[in-house]
Amino acid sequence: MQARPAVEIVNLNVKIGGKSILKNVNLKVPEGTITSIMGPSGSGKTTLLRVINRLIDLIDDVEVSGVVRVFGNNVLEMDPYDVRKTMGMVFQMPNPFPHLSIYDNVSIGAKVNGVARSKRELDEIVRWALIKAMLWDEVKDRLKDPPWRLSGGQQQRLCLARALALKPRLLLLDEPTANIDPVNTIKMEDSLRSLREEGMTIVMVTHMPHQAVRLSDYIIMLYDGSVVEEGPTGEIAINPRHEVTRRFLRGEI
Amino acid sequence: MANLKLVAGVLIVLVVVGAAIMIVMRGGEGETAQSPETPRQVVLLGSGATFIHPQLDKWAKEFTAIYPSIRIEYNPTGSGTGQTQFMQKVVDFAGSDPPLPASRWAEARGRPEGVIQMPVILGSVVIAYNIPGLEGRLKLDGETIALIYKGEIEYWDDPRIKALNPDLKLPNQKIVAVHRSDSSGTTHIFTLFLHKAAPHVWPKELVEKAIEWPVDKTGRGLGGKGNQGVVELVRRTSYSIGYVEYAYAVLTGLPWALVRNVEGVFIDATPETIMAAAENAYPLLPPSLEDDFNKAWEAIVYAPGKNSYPITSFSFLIFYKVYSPDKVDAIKKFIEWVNTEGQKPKNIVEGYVPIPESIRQYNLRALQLIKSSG
Amino acid sequence: MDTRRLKDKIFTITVIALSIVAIAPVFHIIIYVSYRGLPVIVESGLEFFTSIPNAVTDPKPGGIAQAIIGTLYLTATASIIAVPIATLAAVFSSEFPRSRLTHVVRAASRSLLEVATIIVGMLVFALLVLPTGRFTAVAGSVALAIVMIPYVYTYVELAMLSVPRTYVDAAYSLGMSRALVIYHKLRIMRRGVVRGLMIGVTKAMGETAPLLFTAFGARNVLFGGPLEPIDALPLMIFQFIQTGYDNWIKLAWGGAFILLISYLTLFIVTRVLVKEVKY
Repeated sequence: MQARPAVEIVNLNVKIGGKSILKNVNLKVPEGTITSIMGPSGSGKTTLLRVINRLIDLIDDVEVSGVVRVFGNNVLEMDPYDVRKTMGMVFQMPNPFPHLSIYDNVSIGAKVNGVARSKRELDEIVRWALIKAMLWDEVKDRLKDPPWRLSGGQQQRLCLARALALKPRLLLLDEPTANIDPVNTIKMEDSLRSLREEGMTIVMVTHMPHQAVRLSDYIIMLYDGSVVEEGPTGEIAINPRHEVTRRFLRGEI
Repeated sequence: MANLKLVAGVLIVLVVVGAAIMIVMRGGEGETAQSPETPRQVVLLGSGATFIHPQLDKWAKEFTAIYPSIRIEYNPTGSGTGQTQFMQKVVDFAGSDPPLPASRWAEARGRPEGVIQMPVILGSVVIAYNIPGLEGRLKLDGETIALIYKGEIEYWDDPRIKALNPDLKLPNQKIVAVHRSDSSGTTHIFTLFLHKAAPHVWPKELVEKAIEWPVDKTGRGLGGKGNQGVVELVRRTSYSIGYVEYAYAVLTGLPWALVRNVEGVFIDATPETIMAAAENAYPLLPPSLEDDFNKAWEAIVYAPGKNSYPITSFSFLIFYKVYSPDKVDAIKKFIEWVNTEGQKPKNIVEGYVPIPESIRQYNLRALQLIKSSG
Repeated sequence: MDTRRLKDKIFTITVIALSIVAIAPVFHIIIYVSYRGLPVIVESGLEFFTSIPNAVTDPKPGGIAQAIIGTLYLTATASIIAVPIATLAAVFSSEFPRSRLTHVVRAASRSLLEVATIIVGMLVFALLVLPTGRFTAVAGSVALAIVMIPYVYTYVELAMLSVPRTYVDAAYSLGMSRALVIYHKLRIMRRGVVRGLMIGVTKAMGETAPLLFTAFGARNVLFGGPLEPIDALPLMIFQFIQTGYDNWIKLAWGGAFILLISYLTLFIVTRVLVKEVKY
């Protein structure tokens, strides 16, 4: 474990509409790893992810207490718009902006945040992001096309490119391959591995235990709003300490 | 592809805007070209009676042709609204079939702007009928018409009608009496005539712009909206009778009856007989244009004179006595023109009848009365 | 088996017949207005679009240029007033759906939709015409704007509330400010927004009552300026059709045809120019 974790959560409690969704969550995400947050549906995984990039603010009647440090800064005390500019998010359903071209979809993050200062810089970022998302060859000749012409899997990779154009240090993915076909799933996972090689910290929510084991370096098991256990994949996969983890890995819950 | 449509859209907008600008710059000061010395156009607004609208429109256009710097605009909102807007001071003059009622006139008279009324055109009401196959012209008098509209005369060959028309072969058919379903000055004049000609048959309570028609209770009454509504119904309903504005009736080709006047003569509605009624009513006009005109307005109906058509009416324009400096000359010119050139045959719309010379001179007294406020 | 097929056929035929009955009036209007109005324009030619109406004694009817200009002007200025106000209100309502102000605005909009437009005209008369003693095009624009606002508001708010949640999430997740997210929401729902605009615009174009006591209906000039009375197509049609004069009745039908063509053109053009955003 490195000196400073990418994400450090201390005593996080989240209530939505009076109902307790996350209960006293404590966890650390090592920098430069692919970390899976796994657990059955309803365990609060998506909520946890959305606390990190403050997307949780968009919900009415939310109570959040605790500390969430990302690269040393407590995001709960920062301006949410500043927080979001430093992280990319990919959602469960592919959601490229329907009114923008493929090019504009990727570039919009960079444009909005002033990451690129000229058209040339923007072109380069778009190209880089699409290459990293393993989509460049498939779309390089039709960047002006609208996204609905792409297949579901391609659209999801487009969304990945869109998030990457922010040049974030942290990437958040919410069950990114749950709704796409196996071929595109493999491409997606290859992208993530390649990004990790370049030092990106990746936090991925998944409810598929085999994906967590296959892909990630570090696993956090979430159940009913609490962290059940966390640790390197090797340890958790072979020797889970908790009954819940064992049952989840066996596909029983 | 999308770009082409964007270009098309922008072009359309540019064309529309460009055309608009061109028209605005050309038409901004009226449709006649103006030399740099001509002053800004004065606009006089009038509103009120629908009856006078086509005639006033003709006057407005002819007047502006001679005085390009003065434009007249008239809105046919109805006499009542015209009077209200006059009292509210949002118009420069009002057109009204009846003059201001006494209470309004008193209120207007008491204000610094004052009030001047003048009859500027004549109208009349004819009794149209639809009797298929009738040869010859029907003759009626006030009492008979009143009895028809009371429902008491049921058939065309009723002895009372036959007595007036000994030479006509009248059919044994029920009479359908058509009247107005909406409130109207025409109804007011018509019922006033019935009352004056036959007060024992048609009481004062039934003299109004809109009434409950006794003939409706017999099931032989029909209501039409506006003059054209009545015309339509008479045209379509055999053996019907209806009262219509003369200006309307001349456009339709429906026959109308000769009506007995107070001297006992059966008179046709023509410009001569209508003007004769006005001439005979002239002595009954009030001494000053600033006075209440209600008595005069009643006096012209069933007016004396052998040649007078008995169902004639004045139509009034109502002016203030005081106008702002920028408008006072324009108003005076307009009043002068309407009462001189405006009454000449070439400026009269068919179906409207000019006022006799005596009344024109009477109206021109306004030029002395009207003053500037500044 | 046979009876079921028969019942199915009867049902299908009934539904089709009733649909035709429901739509038929639209076609009837289009056909009849064209039948009465198109010949007038063909007969008068260019004059119909460039001159004002002639007096009733004239052999030729003249034209209705002032009414066309008036309608264009009043509709454009009413839109300039109404669209920003309604859009801002709609954006506010959709962004803050639980705010008390939103409830007030929504209730006000609904009430305004129910009010007869003549009342709007009388209100503007009392506020703008009576105190100044003048009928003006501005007063007409204001009256039409008030009529337009609830329509544009309702449709734009609906469009904003219909944006799929996932796009909103994605936009915020990229660090977009609220204003930028709103901008993109409007772009995604552009068909709905434009629909709201078109309904508002066509409503304004076709209204007579609000103009009776505000714009007045000045017919002896092509365009007198914003501070003078002005004509409009529906107003002209309303006033001319009630007279008995052939000339003016012709102009009224010609004007009705122009209005019809304008509606059809507006709807077709916006459908063609504003492509549906597919997702």
